[in-house]
Amino acid sequence: MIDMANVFKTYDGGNLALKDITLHVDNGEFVYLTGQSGAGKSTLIKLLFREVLPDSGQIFIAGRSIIRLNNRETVKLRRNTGVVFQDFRLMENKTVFENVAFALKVLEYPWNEVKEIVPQVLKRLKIADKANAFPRQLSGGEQQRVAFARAVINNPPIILADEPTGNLDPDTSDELMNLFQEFNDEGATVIMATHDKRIVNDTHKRVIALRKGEIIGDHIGGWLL
Amino acid sequence: MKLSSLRYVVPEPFISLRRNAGMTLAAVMTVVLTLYLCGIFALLVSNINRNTQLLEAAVEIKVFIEDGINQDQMDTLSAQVRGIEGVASIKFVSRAEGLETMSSKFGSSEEILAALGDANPLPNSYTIKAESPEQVLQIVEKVSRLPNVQAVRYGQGSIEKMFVFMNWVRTLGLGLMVLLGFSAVILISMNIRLSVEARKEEIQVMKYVGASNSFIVWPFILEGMLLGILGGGIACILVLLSYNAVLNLILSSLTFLTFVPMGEIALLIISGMLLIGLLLGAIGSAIAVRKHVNV
Repeated sequence: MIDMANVFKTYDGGNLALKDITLHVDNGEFVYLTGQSGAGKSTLIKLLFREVLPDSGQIFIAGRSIIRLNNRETVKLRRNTGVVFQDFRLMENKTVFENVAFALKVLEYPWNEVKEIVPQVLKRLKIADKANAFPRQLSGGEQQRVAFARAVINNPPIILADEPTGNLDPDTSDELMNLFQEFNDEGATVIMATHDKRIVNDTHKRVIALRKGEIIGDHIGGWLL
Repeated sequence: MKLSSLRYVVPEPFISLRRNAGMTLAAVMTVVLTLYLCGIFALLVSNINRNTQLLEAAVEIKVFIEDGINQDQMDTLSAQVRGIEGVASIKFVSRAEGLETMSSKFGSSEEILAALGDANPLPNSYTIKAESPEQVLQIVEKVSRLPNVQAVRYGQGSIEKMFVFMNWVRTLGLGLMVLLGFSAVILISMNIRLSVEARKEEIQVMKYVGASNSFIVWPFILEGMLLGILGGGIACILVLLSYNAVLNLILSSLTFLTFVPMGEIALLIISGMLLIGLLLGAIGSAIAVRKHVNV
């Protein structure tokens, strides 16, 4: 499903973010990327939805290189990838309904389908009563659910998450993790960057550990941070 | 972007303008001010054009004929004048008619006539009208060379000076309108850029969920067009109100000037200003969002 081969990434100013990354993620896998701040987790996530491009190396998704894509192909890649961020990145001047509906509008769903699908997803994520609220009127957990709803509304085959629980309390984090698990159970490949010890230490899933841009461990099961 | 996406793209600018009411107001006011000045200059230029045209059309060439020539010579002269290129019409004015016209121009004709006694110092003359004002000089030159012509008069000097002055005002007005148009584009562009900057994160989110360039850019272009039309609409109402007030105020006192009537120019001003507002808005916002188009 996802392959990276000898990927290097250096930011402006010579800051080395990733060094010779080679990995393979199977279809339907749930993978944690872990490591301290600056280890390269976020950069790796960004490479997968083409927010940044590598200096060298190859990245394949579903057998296709994503390094040289034109605008149209980039748009297609992103429509098949749901992304959840630590800071939610909701559109502040749009209501919950509009934020979630936006992803479907972009995909040019007919309006009557949008009106049908969005309330169903909001209900499933237990934020149906917040449909007309603006992001600033919601708690952190609720905002992250909205962001999650936006990411998964069109059932993308890949869900990427960059520290999604970073701003949440433990109970809210657990609820969110259950949601990721639900969509993974339904077939989505999930790659989540996190340095939340509670999550990574107890997991029985694959954990890829990074340090200073290099992979220093790739195991099934907990990883003591 | 598919045509069906218009369903989503078209309402966006309305929502955005409503939710960013403060910024919208500022932007519209800027457009109003700029287009108002543009409109005023447009009216000024069109009134100057009208008056120049009238003056141009009113330029007459007076050809004074030598005394004591016979009818045959008169007919020959008349035919020769008629034959000159650019002569639109020629009218014979007898000495008596000439004196009558002159005395009516000077008002109290009694005194002048009394001073002249029975003598009429005016010669017979022709009044010539040119097809276009540019041909006046050439006609004058040709007529002066004809036999039996005593003198040719056409308001030398003053007319040319006035035309030069009118042309200057006209060019200046047009130049100012172009300058104001540019400044409107820049101002709209700056306003849309502020709007784009304020929504940079939103644009980023649009890209994350896979929005195409046109899906991202069109709402901003439409927003600019809407700002332009709104500003243009308000400005043209203000321009027409101002023009109406000016007409009412000075029409009666400045009788020597002709003003373009409101009914004749209103439609042109309304359609022109709305169209210019729309175009300026579109150009301004296109400039502002250009750098954000690559996904």
